[in-house]
Amino acid sequence: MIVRLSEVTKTYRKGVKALDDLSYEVREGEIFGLLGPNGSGKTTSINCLLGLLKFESGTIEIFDQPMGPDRYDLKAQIGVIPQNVAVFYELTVEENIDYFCGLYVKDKQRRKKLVDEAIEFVALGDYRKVHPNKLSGGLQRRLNIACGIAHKPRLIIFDEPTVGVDPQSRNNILEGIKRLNQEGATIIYTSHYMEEVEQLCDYIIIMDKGKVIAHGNKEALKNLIMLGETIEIKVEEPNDEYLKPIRELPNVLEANFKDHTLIVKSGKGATNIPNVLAILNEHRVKYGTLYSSLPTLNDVFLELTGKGLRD
Amino acid sequence: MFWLIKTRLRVLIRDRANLFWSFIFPLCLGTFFYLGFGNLLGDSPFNSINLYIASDYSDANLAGFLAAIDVDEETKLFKIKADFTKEFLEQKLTENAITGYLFVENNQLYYRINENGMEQTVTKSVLDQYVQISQVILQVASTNPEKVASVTDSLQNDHRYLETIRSKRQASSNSMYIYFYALIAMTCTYGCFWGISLVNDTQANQSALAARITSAPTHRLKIIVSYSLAAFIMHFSGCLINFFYLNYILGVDFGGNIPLIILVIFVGTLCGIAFGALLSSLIKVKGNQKDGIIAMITLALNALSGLMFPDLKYLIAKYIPFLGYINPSASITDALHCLYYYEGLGHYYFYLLLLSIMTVIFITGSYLFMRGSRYDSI
Repeated sequence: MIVRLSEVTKTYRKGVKALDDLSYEVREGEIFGLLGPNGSGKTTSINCLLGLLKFESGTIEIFDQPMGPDRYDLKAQIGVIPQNVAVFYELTVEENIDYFCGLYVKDKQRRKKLVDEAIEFVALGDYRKVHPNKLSGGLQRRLNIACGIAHKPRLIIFDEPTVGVDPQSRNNILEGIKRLNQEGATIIYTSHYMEEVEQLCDYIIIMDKGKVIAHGNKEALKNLIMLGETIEIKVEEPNDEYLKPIRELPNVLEANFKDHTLIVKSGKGATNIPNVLAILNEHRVKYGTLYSSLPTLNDVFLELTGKGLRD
Repeated sequence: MFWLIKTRLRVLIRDRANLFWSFIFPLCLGTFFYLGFGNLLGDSPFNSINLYIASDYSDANLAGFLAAIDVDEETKLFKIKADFTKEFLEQKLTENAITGYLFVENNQLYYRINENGMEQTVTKSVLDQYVQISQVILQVASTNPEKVASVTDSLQNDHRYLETIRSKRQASSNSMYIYFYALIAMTCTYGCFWGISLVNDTQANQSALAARITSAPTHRLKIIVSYSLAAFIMHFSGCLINFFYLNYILGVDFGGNIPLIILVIFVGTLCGIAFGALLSSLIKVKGNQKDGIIAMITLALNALSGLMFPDLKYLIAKYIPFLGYINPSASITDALHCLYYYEGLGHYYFYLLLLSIMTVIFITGSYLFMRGSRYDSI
């Protein structure tokens, strides 16, 4: 086991319980997704894991050994990509990567090779001598990643690395994470972007209020919820007359209009498309395009954590 | 370790804000002080005071007494001019051609002036003593005439009109220099800004950058020590440049004992950085708010050490001396002042000791706060 958190509890001074008997395990070679709304305890759990935060109870093991602030031997095998870009703005791209790599790798020759590889990996070759404040947000994120992976860690922790980046940079980052995983690194990836986690992670836990509320691979998570199918049909005239019989159809969980789109959500089982279309025809409703989709991780997330707004 | 110091120096040397406060601002302020007070800084030899005594209303004893007062072997305190009538002098006084004159009427000494000033104050002080001495001698003459001679000798030997407390180097006692000593003190205490950077970049609860550095396998103490050394090298260089600029380019007199001046700047620099690190660890707010609070505290300490009004420093020394003793800025200023002003080094070592004690307290305090590697919150 690469990481094992067992019943970790962390309460902040103001009495906020950030982690509530939190337990999870990360296996070697997997991309482990840590999902949860803001304030669910994702980053707190990462900081405890890195030995930065005190916690009241529980144990944390990394590479099957107890983790602590002075376990420099374990830290040497971990790479961290923090949520905020954490680099020296006084140093150039190359100097930054060299500096952070140098905190792990003392040999100058080896370090030079690793720095070159990291620059190539994040495609910042054209910006070697540029200072971070001259880089775009996406390029800064890539530099942030390069600083965390240059020393070729065995375990890499990505804490929401794609916040505020454009789709191209995001795609580049996600592809890079897959490559790192293919090269043998175990990845812990925290995010609240469902599609990223769905695209990337082998195993996912969903956290809320400091607890794991669901875990498994994406298929297993989708099976946890009642939703089986979502049907969306463009209608000419939204009308309650035909909405009522649709709602009364067997297995329908909810049916509503969103502007001129009728949205019908059904539970698991046979599709409801023929039944819905029959009612529309019966009420002589003119309709256009029709989409049917299976549940996404977003549906799982919202059903499990609720739709109420978070901080 | 050397690599860490070298890289940290590379970061600090490009930190424009701190470079401004450590290098540029003190040089600019020093130049402004020089432009403002430059004409007051030169060694101004004492010029004898022109003292007019009305020839028709005079007292031979008085003229003799005044003419005999020496400032030093070559200089007399007064240049006596007793060749004019009272009427003439009064007219000259009305025309502002002279600042004052003396006359004696009914055994009463009068000093007529049309404005206050240093010369008038010195003259009045001398005259007051003359009157007192005259009265004592007259009283002794009336009661114990046989003792008049011994009393006269005694009084003449005992009083001095100019207290010579200057060193053997004959440095001029110029209060304007306090501004420059306080400026050196300010530069040293501005090390607090490097101290803030030190804490911000090594304490995981202060910045994402520090959290990242703390997550690395380099030993925490190694990071703190190398960052502190780099900060010290940077700031000490800034303070030395400022000192040499003031001393050699602007010609501000620091008394010439360069090794002891550098020693106080050395300790002052350490003190400034440690002070900033301690405050930065203690103050819980982050970012510009914290910088602002620490800048205000430093500014207040420098103001109290005489950077803006030297009189404030003397008032504190008189009424709340304890405040002066716990102000690192005041200790640096006083140590430099003592080096310049006194022949002996006792006073200097006293202030250096005070500064060293404060430095040890600040370093210990900041180390106790910074050594922690696990935090309650980040």
